[in-house]
Amino acid sequence: MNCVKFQDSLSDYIEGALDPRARAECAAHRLICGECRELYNDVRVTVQALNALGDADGDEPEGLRDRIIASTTTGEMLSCGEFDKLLERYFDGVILAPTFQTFQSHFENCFKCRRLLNGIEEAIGMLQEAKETEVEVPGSLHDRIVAATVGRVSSSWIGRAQSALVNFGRRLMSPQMAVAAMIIALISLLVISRFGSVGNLTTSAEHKVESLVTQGHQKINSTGAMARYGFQRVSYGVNSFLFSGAAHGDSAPNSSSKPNGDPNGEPNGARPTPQPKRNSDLAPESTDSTKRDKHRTRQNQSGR
Amino acid sequence: MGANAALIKSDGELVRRCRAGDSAAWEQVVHEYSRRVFNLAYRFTGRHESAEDLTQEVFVRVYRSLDQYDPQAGDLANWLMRLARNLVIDDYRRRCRTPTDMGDDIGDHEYHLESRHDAPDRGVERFERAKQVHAAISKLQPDLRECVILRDIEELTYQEIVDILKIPIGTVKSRINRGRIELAKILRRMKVVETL
Repeated sequence: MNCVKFQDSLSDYIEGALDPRARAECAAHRLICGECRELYNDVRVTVQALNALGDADGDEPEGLRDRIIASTTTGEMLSCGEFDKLLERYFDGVILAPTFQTFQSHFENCFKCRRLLNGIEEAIGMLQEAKETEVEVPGSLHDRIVAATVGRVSSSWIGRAQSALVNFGRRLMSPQMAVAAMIIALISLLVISRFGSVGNLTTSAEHKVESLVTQGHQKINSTGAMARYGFQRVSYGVNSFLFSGAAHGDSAPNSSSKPNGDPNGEPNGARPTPQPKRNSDLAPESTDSTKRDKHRTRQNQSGR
Repeated sequence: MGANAALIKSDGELVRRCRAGDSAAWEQVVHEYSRRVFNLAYRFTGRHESAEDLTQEVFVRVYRSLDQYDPQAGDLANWLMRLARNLVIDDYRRRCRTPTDMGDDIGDHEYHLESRHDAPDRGVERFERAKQVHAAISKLQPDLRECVILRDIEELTYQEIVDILKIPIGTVKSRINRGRIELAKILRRMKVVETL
């Protein structure tokens, strides 16, 4: 017997499955060949170690039994692997009703999958948030990029104006500016629907202004007329007093008739127009009603 | 399973109750076999997480196949473990076809195969030895590995291995022999074999 034949028969030799003659040949080879003797010992010890491994099963991880029971009890027969496969369809909203019930009951019973689903929902929410909030680009970044790529900075005022314009344009693309643009567009629409066009609006505004100016003139004129009338009356009284004084020498000042109105000559009719009552409460409070729908399906987490 | 619930002795009765929706009966099955199935899965996957997932898959399949169990044909243990072996080997062969999935974490993950009844020092020793033997098994080539596990750890007969792996008995025998020799050499290189 040579080493190759010995090694081919090694398992059978160790298990005692060889016929007496072959066993004797192997035993003889084992005595004369040190290498095969060592191999024989090693394999025997290895097989014993493997058997010991099989005899002493370790404990399964904590919670595994609960997980198995949760995924196998009636109506909830969905393994975590199958749950994982359904997740994509769940987020696409294309799970059919009966499958959804199984999916739902697995979700309610399996802490691990509940945590996974909630984690995915949170991640989606965070991505959405990240998408909506745009970080402002620093003003110097453009120059830095130019310097790093073509090796020079646009130092002329034209260059700076250009970059400022680019920055402004970039800012215009932000979501906030989009809202502002929408408001402006809405106002324009209202104006156009009311006046036909912006030109009509200006014409109409001109007419308004003209009529207001005319009204103002009229008011001023009427006020002036009243003032003139008052002034005439005062001067008439003074004149009559002076003339009568000159004609009769000493005469009682009390005999003079007092003029109506203000001694300074202010006419009675010129009264300050009452200020219109300002309604400060008209300014609406700006309310930010942006609410984020988190799609949270928080469940009471059962202690496991 | 409630602690006070009486254990159902007969396999036929146990399965009948499981099929009737008796959750206590099913929990008894899970408690009795989850450890064995997990250990089997762990030997083939070499990964703790994968073994857990695989064990769960096995029990889902067992639960769905309960109506196929015939008490006249044999023990529930044999039937269940045969089903488990088939599923674990199917999974093993599937992963062998996609080698990126074949990584093992025996060396660095938290090892669970420690018996909790051992004294602390003996426990540590056994833990280390088992870890090394598992690491050596994971170095075997896949076809040798499955034969060695089934023969020397699961201690199946050659015929049972033939039935599971669907390969000729000669091939089974030769793979077991080559696998053992290879494993002994690996353990010697790892300087484990002297300490065994």
